[in-house]
Amino acid sequence: MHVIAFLWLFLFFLAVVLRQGLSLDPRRLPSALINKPLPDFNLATVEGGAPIRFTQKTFLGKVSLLNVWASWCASCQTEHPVLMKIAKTHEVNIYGLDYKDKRADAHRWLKTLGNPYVDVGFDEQGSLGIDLGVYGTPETYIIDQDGIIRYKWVGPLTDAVWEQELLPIVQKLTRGGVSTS
Amino acid sequence: MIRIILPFGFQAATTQNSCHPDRSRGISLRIAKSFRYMLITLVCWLLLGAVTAFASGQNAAASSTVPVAKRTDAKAEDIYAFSEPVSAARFAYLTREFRCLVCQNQSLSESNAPLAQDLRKTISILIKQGRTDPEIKTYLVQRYGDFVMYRPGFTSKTVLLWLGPFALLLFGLGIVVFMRWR
Repeated sequence: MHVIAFLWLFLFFLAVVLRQGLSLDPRRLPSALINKPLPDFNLATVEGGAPIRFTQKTFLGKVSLLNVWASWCASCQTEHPVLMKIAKTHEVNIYGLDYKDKRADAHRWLKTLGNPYVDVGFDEQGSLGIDLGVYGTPETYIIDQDGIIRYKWVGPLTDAVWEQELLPIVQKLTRGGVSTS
Repeated sequence: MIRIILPFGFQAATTQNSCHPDRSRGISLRIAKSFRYMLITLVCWLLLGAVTAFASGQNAAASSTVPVAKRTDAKAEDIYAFSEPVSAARFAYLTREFRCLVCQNQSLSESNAPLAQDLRKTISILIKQGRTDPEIKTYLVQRYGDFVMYRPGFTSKTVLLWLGPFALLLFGLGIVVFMRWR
């Protein structure tokens, strides 16, 4: 009868594993770039005009957020007040990546909703988006002092997500922030 | 009520006095029998799986020779006209091998999501640059992870995916052998 008990245990274990699988969100994929450096890029900023100054070197020396957004993206609008709040705390520099957008629309967006970004790269063709593995806006990356991607959040940030998920990582990276390069 | 819920074989074990030495042998025999049916079903299922996998492989091989421009599900692909039919075939094959991460149950060739359009364009450019199929696969996996492939390579991360079913089958076989041996 030990075998029967063992089988029941196994079935129970299987049920637990399968149940666990149901609670995972298939849309929330891990990034393939975690703990890898930012890809090479040279982008103009959304203001335009000025010479190209949005590169991976922009991110060196401090912990930053890279927020991928677009003016056509509805959930980015939901997220925007949260970014404004984060910018006010001065915990971290927020950089934006305007993904497959029109300059005029982006300007209007930043004017009416406010600008939480230190700088916004303008990725008209979505080429950096592909290099970063962006598959749905908004997405937010945490980049450390050495320009290495440490975390990715897919979907709009909320106060809870910021406080419970991203802020602890940002603070940990800032504290342990002895640049090795 | 429990009787109804339990699968065949387990009923006997729970409803009868399992401590009784005479009966327990009869019970394990019944269970062994029910497992034999399970085993037969499993083998049939495996054979069926192998046959369909083989058939679909043949299908894919046959359809990958069809130029992509002729396919109805690739309306926008006319702009990716390839001068060589081999390239068109490779494009058709590759776009079907990758998952669109927006509509996850559609391939890049089927999906009309903006991301799928961009990735189709990227793949066509990579083909024109003379990159090989494995190079293009690496290109996408490096950016989007193993999940972008419908048939990910055999790595430490995907070992459970590839071997899990066989491990379960072996486990079942082990149980049956153990029961018969008893």
